[in-house]
Amino acid sequence: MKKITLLYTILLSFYIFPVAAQQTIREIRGKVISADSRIALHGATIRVKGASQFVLTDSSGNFQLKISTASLILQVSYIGYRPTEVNVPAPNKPLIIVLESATSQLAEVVVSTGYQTIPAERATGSFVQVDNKLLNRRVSTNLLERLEDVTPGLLFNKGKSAGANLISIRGQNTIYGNASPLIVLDNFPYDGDISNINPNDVESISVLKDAAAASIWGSRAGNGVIVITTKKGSYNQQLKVSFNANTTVGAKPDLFYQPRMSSADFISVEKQLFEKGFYVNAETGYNNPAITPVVELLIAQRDGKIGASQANAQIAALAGNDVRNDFSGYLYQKSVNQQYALNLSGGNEYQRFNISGGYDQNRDNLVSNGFGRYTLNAGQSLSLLNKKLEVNTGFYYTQSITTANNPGTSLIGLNTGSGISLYPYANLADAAGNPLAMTHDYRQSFIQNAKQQGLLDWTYKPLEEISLADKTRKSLDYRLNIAVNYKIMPYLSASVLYQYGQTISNQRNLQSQQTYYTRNLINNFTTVDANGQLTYGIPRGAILDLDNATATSQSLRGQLNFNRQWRDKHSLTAIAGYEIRDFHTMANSNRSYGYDDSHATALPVNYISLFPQYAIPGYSTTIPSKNSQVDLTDRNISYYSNAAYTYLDKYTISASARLDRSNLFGVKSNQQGVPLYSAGVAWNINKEDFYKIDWLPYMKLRFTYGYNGNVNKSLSAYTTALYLNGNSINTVYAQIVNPPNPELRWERVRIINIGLDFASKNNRISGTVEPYFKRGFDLIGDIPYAPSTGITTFRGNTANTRGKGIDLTLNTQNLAGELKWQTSFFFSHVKDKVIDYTLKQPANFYVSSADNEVYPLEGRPFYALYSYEWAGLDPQTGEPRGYLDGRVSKDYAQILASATADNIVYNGPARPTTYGAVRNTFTYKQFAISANISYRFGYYFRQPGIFYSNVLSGRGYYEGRYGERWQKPGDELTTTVPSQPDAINNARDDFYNYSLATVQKAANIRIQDINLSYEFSRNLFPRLPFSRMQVYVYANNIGIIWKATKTHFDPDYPAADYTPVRTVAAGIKADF
Amino acid sequence: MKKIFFISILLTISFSFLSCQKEFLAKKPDKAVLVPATLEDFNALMDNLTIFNTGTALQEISADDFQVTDATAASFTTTIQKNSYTWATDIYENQPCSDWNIPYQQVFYANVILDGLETVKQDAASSANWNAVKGNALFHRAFAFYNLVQLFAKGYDKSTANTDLGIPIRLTADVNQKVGRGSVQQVYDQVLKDLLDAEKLLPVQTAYKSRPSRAAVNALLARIYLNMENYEQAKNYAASALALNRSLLDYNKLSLTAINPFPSSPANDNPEIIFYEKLISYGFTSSTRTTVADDLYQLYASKDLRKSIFFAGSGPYYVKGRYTGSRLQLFGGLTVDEMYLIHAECLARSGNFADAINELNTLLVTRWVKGTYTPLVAANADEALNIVLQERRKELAFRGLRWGDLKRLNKDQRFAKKISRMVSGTLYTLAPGDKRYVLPIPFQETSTSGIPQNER
Repeated sequence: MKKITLLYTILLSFYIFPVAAQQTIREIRGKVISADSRIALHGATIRVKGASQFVLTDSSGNFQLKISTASLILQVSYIGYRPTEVNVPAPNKPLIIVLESATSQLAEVVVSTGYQTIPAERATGSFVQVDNKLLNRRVSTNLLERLEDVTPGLLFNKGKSAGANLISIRGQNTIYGNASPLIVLDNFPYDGDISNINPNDVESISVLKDAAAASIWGSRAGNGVIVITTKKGSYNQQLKVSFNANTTVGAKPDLFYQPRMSSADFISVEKQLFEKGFYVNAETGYNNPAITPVVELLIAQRDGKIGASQANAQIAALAGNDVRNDFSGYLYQKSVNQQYALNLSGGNEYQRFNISGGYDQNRDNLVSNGFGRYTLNAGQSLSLLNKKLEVNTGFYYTQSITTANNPGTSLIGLNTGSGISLYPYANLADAAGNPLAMTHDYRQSFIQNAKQQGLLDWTYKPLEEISLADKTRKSLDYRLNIAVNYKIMPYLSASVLYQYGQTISNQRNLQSQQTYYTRNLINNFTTVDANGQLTYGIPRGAILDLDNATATSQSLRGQLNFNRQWRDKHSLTAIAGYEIRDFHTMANSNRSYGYDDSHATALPVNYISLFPQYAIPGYSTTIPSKNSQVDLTDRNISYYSNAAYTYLDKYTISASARLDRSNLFGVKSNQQGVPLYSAGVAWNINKEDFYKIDWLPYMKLRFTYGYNGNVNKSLSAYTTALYLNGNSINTVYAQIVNPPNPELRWERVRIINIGLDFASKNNRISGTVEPYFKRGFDLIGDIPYAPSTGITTFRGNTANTRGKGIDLTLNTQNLAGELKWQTSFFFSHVKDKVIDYTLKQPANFYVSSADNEVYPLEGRPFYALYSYEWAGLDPQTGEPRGYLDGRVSKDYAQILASATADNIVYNGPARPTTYGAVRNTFTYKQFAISANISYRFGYYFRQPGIFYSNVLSGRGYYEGRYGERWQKPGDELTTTVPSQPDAINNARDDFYNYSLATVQKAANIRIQDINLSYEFSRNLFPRLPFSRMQVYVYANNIGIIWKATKTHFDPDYPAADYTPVRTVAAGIKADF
Repeated sequence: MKKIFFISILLTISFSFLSCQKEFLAKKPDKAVLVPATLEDFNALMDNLTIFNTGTALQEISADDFQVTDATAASFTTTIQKNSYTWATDIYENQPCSDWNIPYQQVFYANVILDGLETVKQDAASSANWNAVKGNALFHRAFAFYNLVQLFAKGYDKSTANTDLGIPIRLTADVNQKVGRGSVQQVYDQVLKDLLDAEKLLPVQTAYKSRPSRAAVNALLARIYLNMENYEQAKNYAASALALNRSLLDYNKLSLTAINPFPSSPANDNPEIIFYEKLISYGFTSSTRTTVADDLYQLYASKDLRKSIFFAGSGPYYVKGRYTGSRLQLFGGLTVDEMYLIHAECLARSGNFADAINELNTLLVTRWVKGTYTPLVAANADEALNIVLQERRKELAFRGLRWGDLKRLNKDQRFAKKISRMVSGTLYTLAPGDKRYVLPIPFQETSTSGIPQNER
């Protein structure tokens, strides 16, 4: 980053250097105001440098001072603000001095690594600092999403792979290891749930991108590090009270985004299948599989139970339904998120404190689901022993509750054993809104028979389930920090830091006897004897599931800090430390049957015997037991050191080394540890004598080299086994987890980073250009082994990767008058590829994987899209065509069989290779508006195709492109969706779905968000009870403004039910 | 002075941490994980019934005991089942094959145990347990190899066994060891050697039928020698097995209408079971839509209880009575009735047809409605053999044995049978000696270990 001067002076006339004049006395006048709220500061001290003379400002911030013309510099200070120095202006020119708040990080950019703070000016490594102002531009419950589209090199992954790693910093460097960046919260790694952090408590975030920045975190830094620093009070700061409240309203999701098969089409396919006798198997099935209402009507008509006209009329009525209307009406709602935060901070010369409280109340888009959070953050620092000893204590407490009574739409539908399939003409409720029953597990006739035998009602009403559900997760997270820093000598201090943290999560799922789950289970374990007597394997009553987990972390760190300047030439900063950490997770789950919630009693069940299943004749099974225990320990011991030496403020060299040792199981202790190191240099070119570029007063060149690590603790050097219980002879048994791997090593990532920082005069233009090169070594990957070895794959250190990229940041101040216009632009480009990976899987692994799962292929990126060559639809039949031995072919089985990793088409990366954002901020008087436009280029996505195997087995609802299919010659000009085949042809389905026909360019530009604010200040509204107040409106997920694909799909969400909803927030921020 | 004091305290604290580091880092990352090293661990590995006690099942889909309608055949979406039923050249289409993988997983587990045993000391107190663990592992390994060679190699033929391609014989748990296919003879030699060793080590009886006993070794040897057409040895081992257990289950005591007429094994006792093994589950083998072949069903007389205990439905009939005790799970273990039949067959082949028929009558009287059974008679050895073989097919249907019997009997002109099936208008046939009696090696194996593929 660039150096921003401590002071921001606005001279009404340009007068850079005072002209040396004769030694006379003259009078100067001026005014001192605050930078953020622009209010006059009463009582600020103006001192002449080198003299004892000083004055204080009056109540309107004005001062006047008689000084000798030899005096060149004024020193200005005010409690709670950064002291500053200004040049004495030309005679008769009034001076306005703007003081920056002491808490504002804008004043001097220091980056935090979690072990130390480094002035950006002397840093050699690659850091991104996201300050408080930028963090608060976005309104959200979750902290991390505030980094999106404002952080160069940081990419939010969307689509299917996002679940595994939401964020990647400069691409991915591991295959099966942990791919998420390390999160450091107040100096220690944070392993809890990120949603437990209240964004309002966060002062700033540093993102560490290269080896020099991150290698201090050693074996956990392989994916980059995100360092979160919470708010602290400041010494000598008046009590400051700030308040923030906002409400965010999110639109109802658009369930019609993803095409689905229409009711009319679905019914027509059901009729075709019925004609062919497809449902006979289900009709005569011993386990009474569910049959859809239309097929039931067709059966009744066939059997003469109802007339043809009656059947047709009823079917026609159903054809008019679209279940998505019901979903939208009964399952979804507008989301409403409320957020309140209050913060108090202040301090005197020897003490500073910060207390904040937060409350969040979210109503989800899914009816009956929500989230609530309380946070309390209290910190205090004491300066003792003549400021030699500083004791910091911190306490952070979060309590949250998640209600999950509505599982969404995925469980609704026919459960035929091969997954849930929905029929689009389903009704969730009648005209009056009363819940209606839907076909789910079993046929209607079976349900009626069961009821006659005295079993519980077996009907399934999805809407009723939502109101019956009682599923909550409570999470409690607290941390205690103590840090003691003692200045042994002015340049040497020792610090000891200790943190104790615990995350306790309790999930409670009470499924009353009225819920379908409980009724279904009880019924299935009910036996009816010859006399019609019922015996219950599972007692009647509710089922209560409790899942508890407690994660406890303890960290202790001892560190020596050295910081000395001498002879105005040399400056040395160094730290060395030792850290020990224990992270212990214990979890248990338990289930009670026959639970009575009013008395908290449960009934015992027999988990050992086999019970015949009522609905599946001939099948017996044991009562499901949900009892399990987990006990995991993660221990680390680390030694680390970091030193930076600066000569003449021009040249900086830095070096960092860390040795980590962990309780990696079964690895010989000499392999438990891995030394990781980095080194860097920086050169402030503008400080050289030869540097004469006036318009570019700041220029710095940086170069770093080093290694970060990554670890996979699930592997071991020995054969490991896992003890389990509950086999069919009720003995304990064991299962082999790992074959032995004596060669196991930690993964390493080497990063070379080159950085150029520059700033023009007055920071009109400033920016950074950072190319980098990465190599991953010894990455853990799967090697398929001959199954005759007893294992099908072997996981070990097999792969290497190579990556390169560039991050570019450019900030400009385009207009500086009354109307201010600032532009922040960033551009990131990253390319990675796998090298030294000999394994080749069958072609179908690659074409079907896309971004689901990584199947690395040498020379290609981790996440890549592959497909079969496409020769269009046959104009006569609408069948898909590919190529076999260079000729157009419809022999799908042979096309698939002859495809190999080498001859399939490589389309390109599946994740963005170029991305960034442009943020324009306009400020006019008290108004400010900023809009962020983000872009993602250089990747591909696969749009949904069509699997006729589902259509032809009556499960076609999700094959939404059925309506686009080829139906008559000529259609091939407008569609690539093949015609419907007569019989299931899996090879044809696979060929089409994974052919080039379904691949699209994903490039897109979207307006991500807009923030509009108005600021009330005492200047304009003198009677305001606040020193400052801001009202703001924020809109997020505004929309795509350009995309490369002509399809209607959002390239980042091609398979989703709906895209992220648009939200609008309104809020108020006030400082008292 | 104060500073020195401070620093020395800091150093002392640091060093006290250093000294206990080793212990600190020795903590297991997951309490449930262990390095198997003790006899208890090995026993726990062998009580893993999802790995062990599981036999191959593709031979049942390929044999002539099941039949399906066109609609059912069309509804099989899994490639391997569909292709196995029609004896396609490539049955896997690159899908992994459990029938290959699971037996080799058993071999791997057995080898982990056998390798591990070398470091476990044997003393007076643990000797019996140590022997049982070793015998157990050898038995499981032999059974796995035997099941594999049935599917993936030619049937045993003394004249060609030395040159017929076998299956990889892995004798250590080292997954990096390269092993070729060897010959059929080598596989049988290894299997027999393991079993003969196991016989000396295993106890006469075990607490659970899922753990092998000495009777199980004898029974398996009888099955294997019969398969090798070494009828003399087969007779001896069947006799040895019967000497340890001759009890038969009187089918009159079973419910004819129950969906699961047999006691659920291995938890409950079925006296006929010597060693419990289920077959790999495929939709094909558990569906009610896959039914018993008409010609097989016709063989059962009306007073034969097996007709209603084994089968249900309204025609065609699905299979319900299985020795696993569950309609959904085929049984492939070793049983007393199989020993009767092996004994009877070998007696008939040796010319002792009277004893052969006697043995058969002892078995069959428990299978018929009480008081309706007329003892069979045979005029000569050939007639006796014919009767025994027919009864063998009826009694041991759906036990995973039919495919091996077809391979063995097809070599004899008198019993050779061309099997065929009609699916969606196409007639598929499999003649005696067809190359497709040997299943192909799965792609995952040939592509990684490079072992030669079977010709189809």
